Amino acid sequence: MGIFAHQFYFKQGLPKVADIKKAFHHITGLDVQFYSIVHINELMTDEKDLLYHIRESRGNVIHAPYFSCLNFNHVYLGKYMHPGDKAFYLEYGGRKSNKYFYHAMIKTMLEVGGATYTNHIHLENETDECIEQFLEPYRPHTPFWMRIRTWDEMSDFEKERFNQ
Amino acid sequence: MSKNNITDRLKNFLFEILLKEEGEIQAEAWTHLKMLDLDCDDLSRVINEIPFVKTPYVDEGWELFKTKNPTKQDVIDIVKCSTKRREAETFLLEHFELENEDLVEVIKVTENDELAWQLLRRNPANEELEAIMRYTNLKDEAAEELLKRSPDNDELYEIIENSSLKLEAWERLLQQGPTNEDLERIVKFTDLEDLAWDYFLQQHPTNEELMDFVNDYSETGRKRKEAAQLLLERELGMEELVNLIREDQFADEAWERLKKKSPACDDLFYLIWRRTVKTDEAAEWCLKLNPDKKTLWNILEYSDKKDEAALQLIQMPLELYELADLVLKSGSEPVLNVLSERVQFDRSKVNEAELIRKIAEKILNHPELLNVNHWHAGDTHCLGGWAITLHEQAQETEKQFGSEIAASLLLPHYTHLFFADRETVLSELKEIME
Repeated sequence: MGIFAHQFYFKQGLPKVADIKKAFHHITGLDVQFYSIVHINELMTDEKDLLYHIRESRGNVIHAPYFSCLNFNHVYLGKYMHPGDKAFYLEYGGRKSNKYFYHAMIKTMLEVGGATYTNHIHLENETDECIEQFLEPYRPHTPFWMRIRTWDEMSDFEKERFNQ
Repeated sequence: MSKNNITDRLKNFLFEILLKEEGEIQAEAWTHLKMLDLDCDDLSRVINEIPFVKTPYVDEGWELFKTKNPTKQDVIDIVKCSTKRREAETFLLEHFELENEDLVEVIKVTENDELAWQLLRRNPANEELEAIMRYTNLKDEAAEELLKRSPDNDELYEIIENSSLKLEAWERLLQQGPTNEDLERIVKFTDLEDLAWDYFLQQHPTNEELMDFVNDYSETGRKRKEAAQLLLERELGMEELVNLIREDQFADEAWERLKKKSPACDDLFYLIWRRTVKTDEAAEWCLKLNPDKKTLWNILEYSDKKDEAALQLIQMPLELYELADLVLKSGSEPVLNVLSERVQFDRSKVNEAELIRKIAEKILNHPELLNVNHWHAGDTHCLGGWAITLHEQAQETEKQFGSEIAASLLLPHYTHLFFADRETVLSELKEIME
């Protein structure tokens, strides 16, 4: 077990949290919540808010924003993001029992316009053109993505299969 | 929290804005940054282009940087990473006494011949001469100086690679006795390729040394075929033969020789997994050897011997999810029988040909009813989803064991279409109806 991370890139800018929740519900039939130090409809955080919370934290650790759903372990954003950011990681603790939620979050990000580039490490200021050559096409009809269906629709066997 | 900590955080935060924003916000961030008592390290972040993007404040940052009493190393760092390279170089020469090692650092970036001359006049060390050869136009001057000393083999290689005194260096190398490693890189990277190759052969290279040419990590392709041919004239181990096949060098001959050595499944695992020119032959060979589960999955995944591997796999204890995977790759009768028994599904009442025609007719008349991205979505379904929808008994199996198993038992010869794109599915359905 370890930390698993999946990288996303949104050329047109980050999606709104409301759109993510809607897409997630459509895929899984479940509700997902987003927790950040400020509750806004953005994955990114306004600089002033972040600065305020850094001051207020008085040295305490500020956790990265995260998504939560049912009793699954949280899925975290890799970091607080600034306006203009286009890429981020989704991370989870690598528990097998959490794979459905994590994979459903990945599918959600792809459905709301994100692209993955699993085999490429994104550097801070790479150009769009450079990143685009590594993007992997999203093919929702392939087995991996077809297996992520609404929670109630799946048989116990299918749910258990995520943990194999 | 200490004041410094807050200041550092503020600086970092403002730097992020400076580097990612544009226009007024960026200008405001720069104004705030300047109020924070910036040191040379901070200003380097404004001036340097690597790893950060270039900001519009490079000129202003550079002027400010000069007023902060930068150390010699601070300025060298600017020379290495900034668009202010030339200005920083001039500043460096005007304000600091440079040691030989400083000159080398600067030469590596600026390739400045003038500095190289300065260095040459200071009785540079051998490695400093190598830097002059590699990075400036004074290659022959540095090579000549190096040849006056007692250059070791590595230094002679540098002369061969970089200067026009290569033949002199080559002669010297022969006198000193080159290693095969020395000769290998001369073959691969210099224009004394043939000369060095002939000498390399005279030195009786080992199999491993010849295999380095076959593997061709340098991607120059030099002497690859020749090395492979020489290897085949020798006694080779199994790993070496596998390597020749993997690299597609005389693969037929290597495979024949490999078979004579009676390789075990583990010896051939890699050949199958890498989808080499001999993957199917290796799979066939393994299937005769009572292979274990791991080998069989490898064959099933990567070779054309899927049905044969599946037949052996079902003789082993398999989890249900393994059976589900298996039936997607091989819809052979014995596999289907094991699966249907396991999930208590009576296949005798299923007429696959009739069912697929029924689905094809429905979808081709109403293509909007096909949704390849979901098993079921309202009134639309993928091919497998449609099969289940039209078969009541299979719906019970789906509830208990999932859609993949249920659909596979109904349409075992069309599992490849369960996860195909829309165009492929429609095109194959049309063929079925023709």
